[in-house]
Amino acid sequence: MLRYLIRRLMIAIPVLFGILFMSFMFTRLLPGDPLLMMMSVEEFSATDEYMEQRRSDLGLDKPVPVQYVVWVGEVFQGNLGTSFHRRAPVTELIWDRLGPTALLTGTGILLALIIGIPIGVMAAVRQNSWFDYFSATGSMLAISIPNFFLGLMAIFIFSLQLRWLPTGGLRTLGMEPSLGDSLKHLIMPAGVLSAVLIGPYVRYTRQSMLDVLRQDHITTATAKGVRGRSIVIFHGLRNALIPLTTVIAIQIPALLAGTVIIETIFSWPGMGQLVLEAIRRRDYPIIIGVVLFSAVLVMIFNLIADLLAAILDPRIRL
Amino acid sequence: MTDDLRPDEQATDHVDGGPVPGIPPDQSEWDDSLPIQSPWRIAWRRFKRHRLAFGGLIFVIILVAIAILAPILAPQDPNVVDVSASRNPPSADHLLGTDSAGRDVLSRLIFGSRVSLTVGVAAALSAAGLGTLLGLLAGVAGGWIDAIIMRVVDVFLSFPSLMLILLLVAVLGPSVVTIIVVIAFFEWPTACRIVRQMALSIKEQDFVLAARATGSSRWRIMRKHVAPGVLSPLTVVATLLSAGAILLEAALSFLGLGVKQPQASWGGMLEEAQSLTILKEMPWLWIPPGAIIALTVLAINFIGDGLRDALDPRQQM
Repeated sequence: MLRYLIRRLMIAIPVLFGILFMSFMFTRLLPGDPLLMMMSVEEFSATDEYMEQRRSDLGLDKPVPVQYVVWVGEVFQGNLGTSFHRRAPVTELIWDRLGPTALLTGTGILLALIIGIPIGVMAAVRQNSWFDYFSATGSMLAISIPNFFLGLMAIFIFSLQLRWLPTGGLRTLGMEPSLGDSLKHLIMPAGVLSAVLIGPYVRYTRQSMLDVLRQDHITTATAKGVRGRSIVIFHGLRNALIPLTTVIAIQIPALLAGTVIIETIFSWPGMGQLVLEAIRRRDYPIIIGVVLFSAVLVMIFNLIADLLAAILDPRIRL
Repeated sequence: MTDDLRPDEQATDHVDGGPVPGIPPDQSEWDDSLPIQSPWRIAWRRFKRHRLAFGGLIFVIILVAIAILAPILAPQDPNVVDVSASRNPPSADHLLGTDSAGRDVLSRLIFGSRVSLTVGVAAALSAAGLGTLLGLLAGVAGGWIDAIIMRVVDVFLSFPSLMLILLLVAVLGPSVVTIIVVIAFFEWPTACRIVRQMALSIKEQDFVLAARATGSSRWRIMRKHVAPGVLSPLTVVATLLSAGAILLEAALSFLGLGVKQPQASWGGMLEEAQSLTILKEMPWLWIPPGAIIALTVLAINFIGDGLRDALDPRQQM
């Protein structure tokens, strides 16, 4: 196990520095003085002499590799620069938006799992049936509808026509925060976000179930006279879910990209909305900060998924 | 980690050779007097049996025809502004009504197909081309070249690509060419992974060993043996990439960072629907473009699905 862990970390480290390198390249390639990307709030009103001093402190007069090392050092200390527009540290801005985005994406994944796994299992158990055929077609439809169109349709139907749900926001303004109210605001954006995940979850669950159901221990269980349903759930599904941890991790970048659109449509105050506003205002430190933060998050989730799979399935470690 | 983002097998896949609903048993319209069937003909016959894929292909062919014939088919000039006819509901003059600038929605829809199809085809081909090149290099060369390319792929796949695409398009200025280049730049890793994996498995085949034993150079093996073998999974990947590129372009234009107005694009037509009044009172402005994007992407995804079934050599005829 330890050897596997070390090997997996050895792969993750160059990827981390690659992510940092690509983000660094963006800070240099974007129009504007790189110094602006690394200032603190107070420094915006500093004197020219001070800024020159700061420039040489940050090594901006030195060769690019040196600049990279200094920049990485700053990032590791949590300095992602200051927003041009909001005049606040980027780390702080991201931290404020993390909660709503985590809530939205977490609920989206949960919904997709609740809907996707049972459909995938049914499709595998009744392979080549009409159910199997319709679930495949349905999954295809779910990944083909643009999420902004799905979001607009949801608002049109559930908010404007039926008047069941609010059109957007985290909660009703001027109302005492309550769980019911928050859920009402959460369900529509999370549901639209989950649509893109349901298809892959159904496919992988089905495939992985089919693989597992062909194995010897399933035949043994059947021969022992275990009931069909408990074979599917206890012997089959338990093992079939292991590859799904990897699928969930792989889908996270797509999910975060989805938040840019969903949060904008539903006025959800998360990281996606923050980054889109920043792009419209050319507020580069925020964009680089969110992009870097997301990529590192994705890397960490991939690592966790691989380790989880190794813990759950001893064969992977070999 | 699984080595591709898309599953190998689809629900409509029938590895076990069992009956597939919606697909009748093969009644070959094939001329039996032809004794030899090339692999491509076999694939085409199998593709035709996949009804949804065949339907998707017909849909896309019609769409291409519409895009080419747009100036003839469009009832009005898509860019003529007529403020007096702003936001009119569908009528005999304007079959799908008019937008806020009084432009004919149907005509804009017809011309918008040009943007979507251009971006879909060009971005997918560029991404697939770049991915193939690097994937072949990684798979055939192996060693540290392989390690470096695969780490670069990991880095690219860690970023939420939409955010970086938005950033680059915002900096470089929105145009169809920029969008194509930027999408291709961030979408090649998927193709790269799959091509590398195929190249690795082909490299171990007996006929490649035989070629190597008889003194073929590495370059020759790559050109003559590995590249053709990679072609069929690549076709599938390129198809799926083009569906993804169309969705990305639509999303960019929807956010107002894609194709610039007044040029008509489907995503751009939905931009207006971000206002609740338009969303509620004027569905003719946003439902048709949204539906046509969804149908186009769905059709292409079905084609990809059908190709996957048709080109899989492991499958029974």
